[in-house]
Amino acid sequence: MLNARIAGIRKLLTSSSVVAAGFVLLTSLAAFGQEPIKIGISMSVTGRFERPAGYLFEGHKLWEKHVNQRGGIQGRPVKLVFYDDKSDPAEAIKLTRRLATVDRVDFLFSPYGSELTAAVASVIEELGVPAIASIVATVGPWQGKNAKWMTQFSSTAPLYLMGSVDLAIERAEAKNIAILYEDTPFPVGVADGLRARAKERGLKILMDEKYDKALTDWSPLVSKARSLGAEFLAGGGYYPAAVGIARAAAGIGYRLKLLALVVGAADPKFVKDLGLLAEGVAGSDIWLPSVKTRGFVVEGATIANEDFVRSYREEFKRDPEYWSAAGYGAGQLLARAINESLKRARKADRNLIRDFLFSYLGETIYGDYGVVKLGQADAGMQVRKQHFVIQWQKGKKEVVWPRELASAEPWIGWPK
Amino acid sequence: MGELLNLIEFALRGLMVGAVYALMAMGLSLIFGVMRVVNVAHGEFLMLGGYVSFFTWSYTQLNPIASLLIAMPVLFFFGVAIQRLFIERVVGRPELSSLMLCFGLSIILVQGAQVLFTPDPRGFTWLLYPVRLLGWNFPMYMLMIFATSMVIAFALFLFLKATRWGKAIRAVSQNYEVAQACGIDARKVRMLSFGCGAALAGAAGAFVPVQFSLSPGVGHEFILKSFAVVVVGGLGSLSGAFLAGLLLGMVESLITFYFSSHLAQLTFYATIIVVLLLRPGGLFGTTET
Repeated sequence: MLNARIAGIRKLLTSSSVVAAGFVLLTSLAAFGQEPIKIGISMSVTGRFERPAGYLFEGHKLWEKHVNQRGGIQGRPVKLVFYDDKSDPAEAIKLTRRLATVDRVDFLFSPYGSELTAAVASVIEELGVPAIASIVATVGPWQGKNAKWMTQFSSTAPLYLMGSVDLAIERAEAKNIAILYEDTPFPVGVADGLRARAKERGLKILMDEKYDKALTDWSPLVSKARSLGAEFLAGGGYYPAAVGIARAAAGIGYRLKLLALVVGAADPKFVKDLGLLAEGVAGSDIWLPSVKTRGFVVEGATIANEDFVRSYREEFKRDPEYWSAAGYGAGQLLARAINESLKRARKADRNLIRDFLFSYLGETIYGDYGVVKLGQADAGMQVRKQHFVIQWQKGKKEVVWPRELASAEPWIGWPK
Repeated sequence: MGELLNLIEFALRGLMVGAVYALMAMGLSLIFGVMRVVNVAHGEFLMLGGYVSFFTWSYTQLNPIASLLIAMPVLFFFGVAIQRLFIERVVGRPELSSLMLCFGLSIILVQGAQVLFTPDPRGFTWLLYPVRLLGWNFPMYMLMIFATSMVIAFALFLFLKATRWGKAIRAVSQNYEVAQACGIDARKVRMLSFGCGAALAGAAGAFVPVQFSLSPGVGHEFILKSFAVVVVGGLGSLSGAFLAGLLLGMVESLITFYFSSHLAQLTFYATIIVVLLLRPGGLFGTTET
């Protein structure tokens, strides 16, 4: 009797083990053979954006490889589906439609840059596919648009020099500022940020003047700032303005507590062209290989910025640029959103993922992420991604602000 | 008193910037005076002069004034070649032909420069320190550029006044038929004038990497300003172009300081319309065209 019962239990255990083993095997096989999550990109493989878009795409591809090497997101692999938009907005619109309707991708990364993203923004809203705009500095696709499907991953113009105001107040002890900027959309946006932060921090604005983009001699404006007694001069436009303003200031012997300029001051050419005069000039950078950031890869696995840089160099035999980091970081954000959805609903649900993208506050190797919440006029617009204040010191670009990410102490006083 | 001092300072500063406009416009005016060709590719000659100066500095560390010894001859022979190969074929034809030809040349030169030199802005730093003069600080490079421009302008006037070829240029400019009847080889004079015009643009361009920022499209900014200078100075008048260049440089600087750079740019181009309507011969030319 007892023997018969033991035999019965044995039989039960054996068959249970077989069932369990079979279940595990089937689950694994199912996971291994699961339909990949498809992410579509209209990518500028050729045309005028070929260079930056190339870096961006390499960032996306490295992210795809890392996720799949680690077994996918909750077991599901990711697959990039892309076409060449030839850097043409009309082509980007056509391809975005094709990706959503013919290839039936689950999600989208926006094309490279403000121009192409602005072109496809309304199409993405119409198609209702969650999308991440990896590299867009303008706020046009979000400001007042009440966007529901696309969020901005990169930083916006007003954030570019905001940190320099904090630096000027807290470290340079500047009491006032002269804002001088080119009258085109991006520099106007930068000046908006400077003005807002200066008012918020109680920095007296002595001069707030825009200049014509055809201006070739900045000395009258720089002299005006000097005659008003400005201690902190900030603003600029593109490369020629950064060089022109620095030269004009040095040419009249203008001594400042801090000089902060976009976007040319961050260009390695700036120090080559200006030599010693570039020393101490502050600028703005959005990502650097040296910053200590970390981000999600798959459940239980993260990657540090330095490891991303190393992997990138191994994979593509060249140094990553900030476009590459944006491509990888946008992937990390999407992976996290998909992961949450798979955990909650056991599927990559578009609505859940969209809600996550519009509400998540966190970090990727590219830096902080956080957008205006869904339902608001500027929904989807980036508000957390801070720029680093960089400064040329002994021919090297050092991060000097924010404090916690600084690679060197800021130099106060310019010229050196 | 302080306001007066500001006014004088910025008038002087504008004078220095205006010297470059004057050099550029004198070349444009010389070409128009002799050939009646509106050379819209003149800005590209300035751009090429800028690259000669930039590369001379990069490879030999020769300063922009010394590099004029290279930039001016290079641009002179380049101008002669362009005139001989293209411009000469449209001389005497309707003005639209030469205008379109120069426009095409301008595009080719800009695109060619994009391919050869890349669109990257370039420049270098030379004598960038303030010098005290009459109680004001001026950048040393600006003083040097101003002095050099004056020397070049003076040399040009001397050449036109005192040399055989200079007199021939003036003769063709004043009356083409009579000059030919007197035995002047008008074809050679046209080549020489175009070459000199290009060399003047090249000289102005040699200062661009120091004073402004050099890129393939830089000529565009300068050609528009040069047209204003030439119109104000009087079409075809070299002394007019010289004085108008200095004057508009001053006006630009003062308006930028006292009002805004937008108004300064507007004034520059509004001047063309006002002068053409009220004094078609230019402020320093005759009242007749």
